[in-house]
Amino acid sequence: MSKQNNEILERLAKLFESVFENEVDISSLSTESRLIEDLGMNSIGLLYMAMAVEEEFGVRFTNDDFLTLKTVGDVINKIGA
Amino acid sequence: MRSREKNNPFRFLPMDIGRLVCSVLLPIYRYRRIHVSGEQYKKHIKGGAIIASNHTGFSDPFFIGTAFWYRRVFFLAAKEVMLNGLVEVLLKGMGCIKIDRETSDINAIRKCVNLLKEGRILSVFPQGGISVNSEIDKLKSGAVLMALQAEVPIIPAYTLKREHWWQRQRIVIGDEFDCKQLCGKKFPSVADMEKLSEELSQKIEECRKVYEQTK
Repeated sequence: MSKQNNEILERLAKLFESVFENEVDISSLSTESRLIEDLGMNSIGLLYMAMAVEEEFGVRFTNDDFLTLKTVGDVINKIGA
Repeated sequence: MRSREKNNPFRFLPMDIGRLVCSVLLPIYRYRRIHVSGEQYKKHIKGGAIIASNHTGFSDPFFIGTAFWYRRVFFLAAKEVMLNGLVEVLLKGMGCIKIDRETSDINAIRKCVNLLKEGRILSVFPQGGISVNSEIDKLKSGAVLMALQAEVPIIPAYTLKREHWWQRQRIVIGDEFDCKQLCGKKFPSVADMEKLSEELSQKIEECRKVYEQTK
């Protein structure tokens, strides 16, 4: 993983910590972590995560993005795109 | 593009034509057929706000719009309601925002948040569907999410489930509910939002109790 992606993952971990408090195990967060199955996000959680990422990283999600957004790695790719 | 749309003076023309047509008959209808009560109702709402109420039938948006006659009220409508292109054009013209309840419809949520930030009123039914009775079911967190994002208060409302169409409609408006102030965090957690949704449910329940005491 590139240095830039590593930095994004660290910032995402901090963001997830505040957004999901104790519901998500941040210590095991990796690019392979699945948003729904591993992190336990529901539809509102996904929306909220996307809005928080938009605010933090200045990206913009669309409805189509949610069709492909499955893992933390996908979120990082979206931020880096 | 968005700022061009925002500056368009005819942006809400279809909605205003609808309101103008309704305003001819509305005062008589409102006086005879709808009873609105609550302390918050006496103070007119200024600025952006979300009106969150229970959902008892397809006529609820009409009654809510009538209760807040002095402002343009936008509604969040499920995509299933927009049966065909014509219905969709009409409902959108009347201020409805289409939402897909099955997916994470970020475009619809963003549209609502932008309207709220502009100082508009949005009416939502956080139960996510029509309930068979006047009970307040578990609320979804979308209303709280939008209120937190737009930093606007939520105004709880209770609408009576009428047994006959000729029965007078009763609406009780509760005191406004400031999510951001109650939470006090930049990024409230999902659990915080669920707690706030539960509190909102209790506020609507309080409105129902007011109705029970005064009926």
